[in-house]
Amino acid sequence: MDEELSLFLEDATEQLQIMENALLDAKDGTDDVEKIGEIFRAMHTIKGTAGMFEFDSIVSFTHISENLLDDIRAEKIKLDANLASLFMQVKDTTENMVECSVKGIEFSDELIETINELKDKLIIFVEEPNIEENNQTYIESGKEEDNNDDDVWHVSLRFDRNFFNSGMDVISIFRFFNKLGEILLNIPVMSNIPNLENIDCLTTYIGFEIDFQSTCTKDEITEIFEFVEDDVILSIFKHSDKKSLMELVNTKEDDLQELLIENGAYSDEDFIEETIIDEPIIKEKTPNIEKENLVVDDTAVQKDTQKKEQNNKKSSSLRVDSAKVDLLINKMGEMVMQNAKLAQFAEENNNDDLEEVSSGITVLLEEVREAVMNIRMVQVKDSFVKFKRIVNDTAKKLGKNIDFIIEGGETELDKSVVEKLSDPLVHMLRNSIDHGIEMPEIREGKNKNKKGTVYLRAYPDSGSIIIEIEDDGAGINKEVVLQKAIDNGIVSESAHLSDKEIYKLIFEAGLSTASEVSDISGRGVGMDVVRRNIEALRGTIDIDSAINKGSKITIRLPLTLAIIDGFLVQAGHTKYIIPLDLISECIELKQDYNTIVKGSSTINIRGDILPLLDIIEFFDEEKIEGIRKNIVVVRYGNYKVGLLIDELYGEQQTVIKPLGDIFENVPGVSGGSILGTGEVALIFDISRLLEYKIKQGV
Amino acid sequence: MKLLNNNFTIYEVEEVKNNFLELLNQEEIILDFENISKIDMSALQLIISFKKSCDDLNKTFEIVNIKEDILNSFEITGIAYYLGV
Repeated sequence: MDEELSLFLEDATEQLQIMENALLDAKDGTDDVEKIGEIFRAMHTIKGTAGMFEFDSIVSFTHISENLLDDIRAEKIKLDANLASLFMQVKDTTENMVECSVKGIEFSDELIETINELKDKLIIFVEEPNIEENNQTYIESGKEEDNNDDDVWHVSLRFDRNFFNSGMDVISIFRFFNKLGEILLNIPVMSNIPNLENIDCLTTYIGFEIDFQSTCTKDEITEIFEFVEDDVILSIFKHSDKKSLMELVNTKEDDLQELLIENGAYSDEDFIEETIIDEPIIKEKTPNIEKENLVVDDTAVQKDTQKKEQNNKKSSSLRVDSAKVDLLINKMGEMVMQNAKLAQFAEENNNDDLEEVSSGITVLLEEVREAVMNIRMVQVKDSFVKFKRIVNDTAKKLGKNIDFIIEGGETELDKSVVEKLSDPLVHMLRNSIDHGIEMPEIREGKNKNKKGTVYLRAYPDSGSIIIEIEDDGAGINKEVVLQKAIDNGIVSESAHLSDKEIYKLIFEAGLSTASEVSDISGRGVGMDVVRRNIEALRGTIDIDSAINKGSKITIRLPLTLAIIDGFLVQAGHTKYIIPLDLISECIELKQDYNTIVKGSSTINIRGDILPLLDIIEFFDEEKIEGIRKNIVVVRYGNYKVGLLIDELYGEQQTVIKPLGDIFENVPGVSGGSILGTGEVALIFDISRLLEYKIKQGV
Repeated sequence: MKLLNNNFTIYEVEEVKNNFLELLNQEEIILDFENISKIDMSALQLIISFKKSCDDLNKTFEIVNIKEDILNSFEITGIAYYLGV
């Protein structure tokens, strides 16, 4: 099924479910504005989206229901038990219609009969009470016609560079515009489109400036872009709103003003700043309008309150510039630091009261911190769902048959991480489909299901988020990879590499395992860029594979980028912070654990032999003799390593500060943090440390 | 040049672009759209880009045999005027 269609089906099903729930609650009749609102919105949304796919029969059917529900909302008609059961039938019928339309099946005679029957019943309700209202409606609509200019909106539309990936075609959006009203003028903004030699066909450069005549509200126009709201930059204002117009031309392309004049959307005079003169005129006019409106006033007020209620409902989710949240997080970090200072001060001066206050603040800060971090958390689902289309299209293009299964979509991850993850994931998915999954005939020959399966999973695991891409394809051919790596001089011929290390070679630059570069995985980012992207997110990437069984790529990502719960330790004269969630235990170094012999460095903890990394030695710290040594056992993925350090201090909320370019390549340290005392503590990059230890060949 | 495929969409743009690039050597560029029955925004964008290149090089550019539906897409996006169709 087409991605857009399945989105529509998903959305419609959800709306209908909401409608059913509301109707069940209201089966004996109700005045509950919220319930009625839910039912109304379900019909309204389905009407809107069905229109976009040109399912006209759904549009006309839901339109009648919507009108009736609008009257119910306006309290012209009461939603009683009878009506509720009628709407339940409407809901069921709509569901059938949606299903048939999406699948491309023609409506059965039975369904058509039900539709017509319900339409007749609904119309009876709509028409009766309308008679007394008619006069007013005419007055209103009459006015609107006089004031034609007021119905014209200016819609400025720009796209995200990757808009084409969203799968929604702009042309069908415009067609839908013409259903809601009329596009008077559509000016393509083409100045950003490069010429043929320089264009990247898959990037969206174009923009549009549209004059759109319609009685719709701004919200209704915005709703058209519901499915792609993250990928478009919209600015909608009344054509007569000169202030917004000035703002638009000042923020968009340099030649926009010229373009608008040249194409007749606006004239020269429109761009003369006249805001000062403008406002008083509007103010003078309003009282008059109000007087004229006295007759209609009552309903107008009602409509107003309704709108407000609707708005209230909508504000339950709020779109905020992420920079504002970042600022909040930054300030949070500073507060945490100041509070640590306060605690230190209280302790040094033995001031119990102050200590109590400080610990109170600590608790509160922790709560606030969690709340703030939560703002940034989004479910990975929304981002993952977009991949469905890419997978389907890639598979189709290659003539492969693939089941794409998303698991754990409700897992939450920092929004900035999710965004940066998108490109690498797309690339790896394409790779899995292109190189991993075999052609159907070959699969049959291998006694596999003709249909390949690609899983995209997300789940939390000890303070990290794991993202897995697994396919049941051909697997990676170790020999081929190794040979290529040797040919390209990435590894020497004499090197002995474990299977995992060989698989990991595919993330090295200059190693393409596809014997011929296809236009699907041959272009764009390579696997080395994928690895770098993941590492930039402080994540690690791992790969496992078995010939003819498939491959699994595991990405391990930190939950967030800004603040971590750390554990403060000291080695030599330097303080270090270990991410708390990676620590599995802390123990004193005693002789019974200590199977250390210098050089082999291992410890025996309850029979487990773990590699031991001496931090003092590793960072070349000065040794302090005669103090108690401690071991912190850290766990990362499947690995466990003991870190030998001197002093244990305890838990510490840590604001990660980058160390700057000079220290970028220091192995094992990912950042710094300033302690309450003003000292700097270095944050261990455990994954790198472990990697180093493992490479050493423990 | 006659475009052979019935679809001219995001899946075809890359290939068509390469064809277009070769055409840039010709003096007169005529695109025959007789076969095209489906078009999307990425294709329209590519055509605009092609026309830009032609204008830069002072070459004539023309699209012929456009189907009703496709013409409608040119018109609704306001691009028809620029392309002179």
